[in-house]
Amino acid sequence: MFTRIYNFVLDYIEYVLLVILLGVASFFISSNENPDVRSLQAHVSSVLRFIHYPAKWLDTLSGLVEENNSLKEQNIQLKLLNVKFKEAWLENQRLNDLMGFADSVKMEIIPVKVLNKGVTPIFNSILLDGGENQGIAAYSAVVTTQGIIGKTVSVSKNSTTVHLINDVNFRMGVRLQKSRHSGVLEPMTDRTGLIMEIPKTTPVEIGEDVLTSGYSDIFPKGFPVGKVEEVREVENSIYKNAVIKFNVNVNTVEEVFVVKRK
Amino acid sequence: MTRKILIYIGIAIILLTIQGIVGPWLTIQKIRPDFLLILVLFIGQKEGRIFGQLAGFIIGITMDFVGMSTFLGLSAFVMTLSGFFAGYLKNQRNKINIFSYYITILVIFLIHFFLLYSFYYHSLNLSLQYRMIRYVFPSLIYTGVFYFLIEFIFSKQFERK
Repeated sequence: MFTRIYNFVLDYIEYVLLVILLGVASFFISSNENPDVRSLQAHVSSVLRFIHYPAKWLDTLSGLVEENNSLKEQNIQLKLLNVKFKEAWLENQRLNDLMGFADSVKMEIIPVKVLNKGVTPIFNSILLDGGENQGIAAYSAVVTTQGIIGKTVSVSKNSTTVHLINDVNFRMGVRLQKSRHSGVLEPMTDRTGLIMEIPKTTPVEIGEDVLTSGYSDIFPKGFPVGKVEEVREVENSIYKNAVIKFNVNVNTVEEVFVVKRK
Repeated sequence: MTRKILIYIGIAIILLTIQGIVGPWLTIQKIRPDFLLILVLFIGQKEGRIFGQLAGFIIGITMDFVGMSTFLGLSAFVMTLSGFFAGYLKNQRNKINIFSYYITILVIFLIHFFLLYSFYYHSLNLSLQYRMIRYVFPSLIYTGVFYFLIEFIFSKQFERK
């Protein structure tokens, strides 16, 4: 019996191996959110960090990056403050003091350089040049001065993989700034996303700011995400959809900030 | 054999670095060439199905861990298949019609990108036509151009083998 199985395996070794390898690949596909798989990813990307050194070296040749970091950090704090002022003003208009708008402007952010913008034909992640040693934790918001760019998913000592906002699997709770309608943002293309099931009676303006809703533990409330680019009426439905243009072009980011989790 | 494996590992690391540096610069409308797929195809053609699929799996899983935030294992899956199929072309270069040979390579590219984008975009409910025109064919052409360029540059070496 065993001899027959052994002979069969030997005769069809290529196919047996193919089935095993495809099985292992399928296992990884089906267990993406498994902490052990994420930990393995963090270790592998940490070990292979050296392959990004040439790109990093080319990048730092300009010398301006470091100089800009502190200015950008200041800029991001001011922009956040600006968004909060706008929020406060709208809130004031509605005479809704009872809501007790939380002062969450003060947050700790970690400036990090982008090490790599993916090595696969599918661009859904970036690798950051910083990890646990810099105080970065998994599932933290990643932002630029313009707005949200994604969240950290696997963190090693010195590198971090970021799940980008334009990935098909990315979902985020958002709110339209003027109409106050909350919804879930789903990515559509590289630069756009869709908020579905907005009641037709809700007024949505083109160019209206879209902010994070704050319902998630990952993304801080009131952080800019994008602007309404188009409102799509849905036939025979009580809802309409809004197409959002992201503030950040993920293809061009070079430095980002990780919001430190409390 | 060990020397050969080390050479392939070296080439894979160099290509991974090149892909990381020039990949974003060569990206046009979200489409970028896949140099590592080209390497897997060359390995498959030269070493056969077993080595081809093993190389495809190892290179693919490395790409996943270094460059994917979701769908870890997808590159490994499609690269394994591509390496396996490329293995059928081992020692066929001078045996079959050269036109059939290159058509087979293009078919492998087609299967690779079709599976890659079908898995990745399955949740978006994109139509087959849109997926093919927007992602599969442009990726096939873009990577194909680089494949034939590299093939042309190293054609002497292939003929010698």
